[in-house]
Amino acid sequence: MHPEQAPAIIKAVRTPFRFRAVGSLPEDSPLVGRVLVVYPLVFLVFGLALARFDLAAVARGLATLVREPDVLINDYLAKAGLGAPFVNAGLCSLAAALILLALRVVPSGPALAVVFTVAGFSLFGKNIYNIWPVIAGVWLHAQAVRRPFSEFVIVALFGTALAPLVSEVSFGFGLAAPWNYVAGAAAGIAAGFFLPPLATHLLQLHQGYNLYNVGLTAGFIGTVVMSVFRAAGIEIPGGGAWAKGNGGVFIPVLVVFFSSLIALGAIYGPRLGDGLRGIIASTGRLVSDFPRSFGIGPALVNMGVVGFLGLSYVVIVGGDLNGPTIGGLLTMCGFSAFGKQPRNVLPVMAGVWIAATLSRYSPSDEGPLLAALFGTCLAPIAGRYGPLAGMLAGALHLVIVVNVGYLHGGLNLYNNGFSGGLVAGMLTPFLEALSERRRNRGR
Amino acid sequence: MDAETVQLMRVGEELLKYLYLEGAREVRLSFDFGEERSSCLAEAPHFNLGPERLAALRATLKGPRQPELSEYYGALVGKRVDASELALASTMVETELIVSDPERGTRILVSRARPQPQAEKPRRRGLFGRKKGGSSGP
Repeated sequence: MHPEQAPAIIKAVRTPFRFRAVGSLPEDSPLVGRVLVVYPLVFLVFGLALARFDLAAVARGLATLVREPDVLINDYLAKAGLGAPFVNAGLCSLAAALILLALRVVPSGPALAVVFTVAGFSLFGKNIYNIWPVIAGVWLHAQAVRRPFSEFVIVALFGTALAPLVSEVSFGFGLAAPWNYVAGAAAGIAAGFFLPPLATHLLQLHQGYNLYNVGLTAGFIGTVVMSVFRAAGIEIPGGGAWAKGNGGVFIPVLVVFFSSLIALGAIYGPRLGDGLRGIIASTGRLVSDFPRSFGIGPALVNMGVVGFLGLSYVVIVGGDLNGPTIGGLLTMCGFSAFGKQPRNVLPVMAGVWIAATLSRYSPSDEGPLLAALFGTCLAPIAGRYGPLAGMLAGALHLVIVVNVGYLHGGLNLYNNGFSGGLVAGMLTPFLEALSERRRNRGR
Repeated sequence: MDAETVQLMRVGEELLKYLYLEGAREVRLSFDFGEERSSCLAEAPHFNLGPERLAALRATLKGPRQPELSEYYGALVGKRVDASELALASTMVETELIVSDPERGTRILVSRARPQPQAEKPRRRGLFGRKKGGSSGP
């Protein structure tokens, strides 16, 4: 027996325990699938256009960014020109999308988040060479536990946060070919192999209040690896590459990019208002799959709007638009199909800005700028406990994130996810206790 | 207890929590752990959700099963006291039945197919016609 078909969209209800608007994923999946493939192609063509379709120059640029150290912060735009990094982003994110589709993963919020995240980080750390061993490691784990790889593919693709480990071992240790490639691949495979169980376990630490859970996981793995390296007297070179300016080139492009998401969402979003109200009412806590819950139309509009919020912040504080910041914007945009929305990201960004203004940092510095964009992994705290809690989380995040990078030596690209996990793990028990007290008082 | 059983029990906990949070005060949970398919029935005999909440529940449980989500994030299902995770739980099961009316009360039946063990692959023969990977002796 099957349930009768119900109206797909229900008015959003703001009370915490009520169910909210719900979309119709089976019908929306083909469109989500097309978005997953088309936007990587857009990055690819944009990169080729920036290189004036000079394929030799693009190939040289790709070779440069493959061989360069990838530990944080290594802005590909500062190392390989403007074209090759976007071609790299297009190729890596297209590979991620095709893997998801080949494994028949239901195209929904997590798929959008992971593809946009891979695209973003392919501007400063992930590349067509170093992502594969980590994915292979997770695949090996799936074989070892006799489960289908499709069950682990989200972790595998997010797990490419540890891709710099592959590049460092391959090109930073002075090993001779082909042993450098073998050693790099082995390091990535080993890191990937340990990711899935650890990622599942660490969800318990923050209870879903850190959207970048694999960042927390990769932070711990990176810390262990880096500790072993330091014990062996191995220092990791690299980092410190940060392209300046480029606002004139990228602001119009990003405006068109985010507008296209809003337009697409508006076209494919019947009863858009109900879905958007549901998204805004959502706490954003893991797992908040917006296309599944509210439909693809409202989710795409939300992605565009949050992208604009991030871009506005960078412009207002006078930050640079380069690989890491565009990566931050793309990650914010992707995760706006999987938990982020204006109501829960703004308090966190405000908290980072306030802390940066009051401290010795400046909001336009590298660390605080990235903390404001990537720190929105803590958006569920604002969504669940209110704007003040979100601002507190953002402020704490800033002061912690600029310190934890040393632990993993930049091997974990999701440094903000690592910090976000620690902040959420420390803050949420306290906030929950206060919330519980308030609930009891209200009875 | 295997992972499949644990997953279905977590979904059961979510159904229980959902019905409690919606106002039901008499809820029965029953499980049927079959060889090929396991199911969980949540019943609230004297509790009517009403048309709006019933439609929302149906839509929440309507989506397809998503193992890529449930096997990773499923660890959060059934663990929280402050919020329902029924949307996540719905990625772990297929919905068989949802009814709610003043006379019959509310019944939610969900099920989950057990992964069938892969058929053992025929052993390859080695160079000399002996089977690989096993002792040839008695």
